[in-house]
Amino acid sequence: MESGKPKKSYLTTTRRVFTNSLMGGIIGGVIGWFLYPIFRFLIPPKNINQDSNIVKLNATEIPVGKSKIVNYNEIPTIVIRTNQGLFALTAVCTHLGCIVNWDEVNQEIVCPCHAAKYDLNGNVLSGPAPKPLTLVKAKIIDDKILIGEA
Amino acid sequence: MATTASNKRKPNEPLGLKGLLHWFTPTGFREDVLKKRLNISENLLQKFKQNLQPKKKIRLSAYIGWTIVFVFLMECFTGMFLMMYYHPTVAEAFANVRYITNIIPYGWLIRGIHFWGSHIMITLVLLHLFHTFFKGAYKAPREMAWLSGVILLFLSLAFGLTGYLLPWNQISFWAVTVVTEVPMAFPYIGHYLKLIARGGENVSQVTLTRFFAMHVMALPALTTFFLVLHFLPIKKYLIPKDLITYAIAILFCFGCLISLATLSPAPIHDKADPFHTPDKVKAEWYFLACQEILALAEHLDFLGSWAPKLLGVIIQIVIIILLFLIPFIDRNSARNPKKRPIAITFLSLSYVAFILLTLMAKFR
Amino acid sequence: MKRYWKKTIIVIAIFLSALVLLQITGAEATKETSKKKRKRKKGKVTCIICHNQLGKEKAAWVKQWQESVHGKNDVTCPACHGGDPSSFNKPKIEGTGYIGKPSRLEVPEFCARCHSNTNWMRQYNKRTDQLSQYKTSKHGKGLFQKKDAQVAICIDCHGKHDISGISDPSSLAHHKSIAETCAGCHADEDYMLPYGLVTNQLAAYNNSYHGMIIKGKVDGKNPSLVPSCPDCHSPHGAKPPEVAEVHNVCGNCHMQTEKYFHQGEHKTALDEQNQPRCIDCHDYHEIRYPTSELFVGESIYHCGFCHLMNSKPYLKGIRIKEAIENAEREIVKVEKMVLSLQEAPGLDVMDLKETIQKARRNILEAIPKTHSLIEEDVTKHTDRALVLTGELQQKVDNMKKEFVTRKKGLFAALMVIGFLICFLLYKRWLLELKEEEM
Repeated sequence: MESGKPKKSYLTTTRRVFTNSLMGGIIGGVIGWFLYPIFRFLIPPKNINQDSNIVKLNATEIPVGKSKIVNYNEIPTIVIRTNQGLFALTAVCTHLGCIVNWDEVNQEIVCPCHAAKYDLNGNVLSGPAPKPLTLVKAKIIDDKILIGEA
Repeated sequence: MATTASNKRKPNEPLGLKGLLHWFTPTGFREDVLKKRLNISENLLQKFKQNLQPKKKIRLSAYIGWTIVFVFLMECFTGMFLMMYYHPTVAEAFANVRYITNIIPYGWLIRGIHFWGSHIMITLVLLHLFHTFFKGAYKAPREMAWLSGVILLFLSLAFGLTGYLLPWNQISFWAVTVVTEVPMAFPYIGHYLKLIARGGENVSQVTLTRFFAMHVMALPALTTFFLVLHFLPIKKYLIPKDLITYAIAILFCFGCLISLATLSPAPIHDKADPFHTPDKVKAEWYFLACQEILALAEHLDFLGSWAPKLLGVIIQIVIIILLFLIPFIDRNSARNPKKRPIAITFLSLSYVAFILLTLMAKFR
Repeated sequence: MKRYWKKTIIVIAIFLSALVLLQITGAEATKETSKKKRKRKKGKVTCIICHNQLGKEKAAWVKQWQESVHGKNDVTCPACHGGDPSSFNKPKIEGTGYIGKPSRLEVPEFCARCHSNTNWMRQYNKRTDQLSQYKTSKHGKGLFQKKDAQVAICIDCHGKHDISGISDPSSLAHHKSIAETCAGCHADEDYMLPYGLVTNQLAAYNNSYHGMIIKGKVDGKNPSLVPSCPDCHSPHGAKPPEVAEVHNVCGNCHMQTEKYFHQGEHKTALDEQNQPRCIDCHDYHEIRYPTSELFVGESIYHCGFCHLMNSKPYLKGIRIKEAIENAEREIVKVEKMVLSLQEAPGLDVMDLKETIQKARRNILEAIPKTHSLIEEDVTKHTDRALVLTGELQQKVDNMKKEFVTRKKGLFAALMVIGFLICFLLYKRWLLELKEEEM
């Protein structure tokens, strides 16, 4: 393209390239700086009152031996009532995030996706799960089941 | 010039990863390779380059026009982000807007830019209109640019009106109630027009949903279409020097936007309450002139009880039709403002009238 | 089978006897009502025909009656005045039970013939205890024991032929008019002279908070919920409440306040020494909106009127007052700050305003608790209000800080934009130079 024009000295060319790329860098930085609010915007803040929520259930909703998945702080939580007492655990399998089920016959928590098995305290019994399930505080007061309170 | 290694090969021979490297030179792209890939003919490129040659001095009108495009893109951009947290339901809309403004990081900024962007856009559109008229740029063979431009003006106003309702606050709710009541002035069809606008007898969830659909789907699509139509008749493309000027203009515009968004954040008001009308219902400033025409038409009641409302609306429709027909009404071929005293007087008078009406409504 | 025969016979016998009994009473009832209906129908026709021709006053009775609650409900002339309107010529003859104009002494019982008849009034769902109540009132005692015809009787408040229901705004006994109606006698000095009663009640009532509300002078208060004369003195059994009754009378509406009053030392004092009643601090007919000023000073209705200045109870009152006033001051202070924030457009102060309302509610709860005179009960609420205002202060400060941070960020961004513009201007200048060279 520039073959018809008189050739510029090496020095001028590199200096122009240098200043131009410096400017490009600065402009790029500025654009990045201006885009930072967008990135922050896309990440919503955590709910501040997250730990103060207590989910209340009627005890009749979960007979002994049965289980129920409830929404506790936007996290699916499995509540299991057995002869040993009341257990509440995060229902999200630590393997790939499926929702676990309570196997009443074998008395274990089973993930339907890849057959990971946990005991009532969330410990991994078998299967591909890398980590135990998280226990959630729960207790029965009179005829109410309170999840999220010790 | 176009005899490089790639031409010696068979045209579609796969090169593997090396093919990607072929696109680049140490300092940029290989023009010939890309031309082929993008199917750009030499002819078109030549034409484009011709257009890049400096011809006349570029019009201020064009700068304003390009800046409007920038603001429009900013609106699209910020609007998309706002949409991520906004649900167009009566129960949630107001809470969402509060959530965006107060809780989401920089939500106030995004919303502020979107809010002020709409005002700046309409201001610029009105300036652009003024300037185009002043310079006589609507004259043949540019009638199409004028027509699409006027349509774009009304599209901008429609953006303003539909977007106004979305925060679902008292002011917006009642302003929209008043505006959608206006078609009732027409005998027979008025009621149907109102039903179409509101989707029911009252401003409700249905109204919110359809205004939302208009605001984010129909209007952007229409605007894009008419923008293309608006640009087709324009032959002068921007040369590098003008590009720099344009960059300065949009930087300035961007500075204005963020300043306004920070120093005068977008208001939230109170949640819409269909059972309580606030004391003074006023539309956005760009609708005040229309509102004032309707108010002034009230004085025509000596003609009968039907007159004020209907005539008020008919006056506005006549103005709109006149606006569309200007390139065909004005038969003077001169473009120099000094040689078109009647047109310029008309222009000045109508702008003065617009400003006066707006001010009258403002301080009513 | 035989066993069942006996039982069946007994059952049938009981059933039949019941049927017969029903038949008798039922027949009597239908006989009575049909008689009454006949009476009404004919009464309507004949009495009116003559009375309309009997000149102004007597014709007016007909008109008044037609528009009255009786006229609208088909309670016709003979229902009150007796007589037999079916005999056109001599309706007033003896034996028809005709009563012309009852004397004032007779009126209460005259009305009570129907209005105390539970069976008759049931259909209108009206009370029937007016006469018995009236007999216990000062008015009733005057009428029946002293044969004093000057006391108020039914017609003085309810009207005669033009009787209308008390829910009718034109009625003299309507909630909003009854005070004026009572005052018709009770504000008349000459009229009250024989009884030795004061005559300032209406004036005092009109000045009171209750009176202001009933006249619609207090925004946001419902006039129909405010007591008028009969709400405290009873409508028919009108008499001033006894000492021990006052707090019950006031407590009919001010339930919370009464509850707290019962918890406190003043109730003990009231039981032992007949003081203080509600009205000893709040006045009676001229009840004003109480302010914390009542805790200070020696004038009547103030704490110092009974308690020695600087005595222990007096100082306790002062402390309670200070607690409430202090909390109120804080709320007003914070509210001002919030309002000033609001003036900067776009700042969302809705939550802050809600918190202010919450703090206000605490004060509202604290005020009735002052009647228990338990300091902790009051300070519990004022302290909560103070905590809320403290939080608010913090939030307002944070908002202001946030605004300053935003402005700083804006300044930086504008600097960068300014720099870029300058750079572009420089570039443009370079290009122009090049153009000139060419």
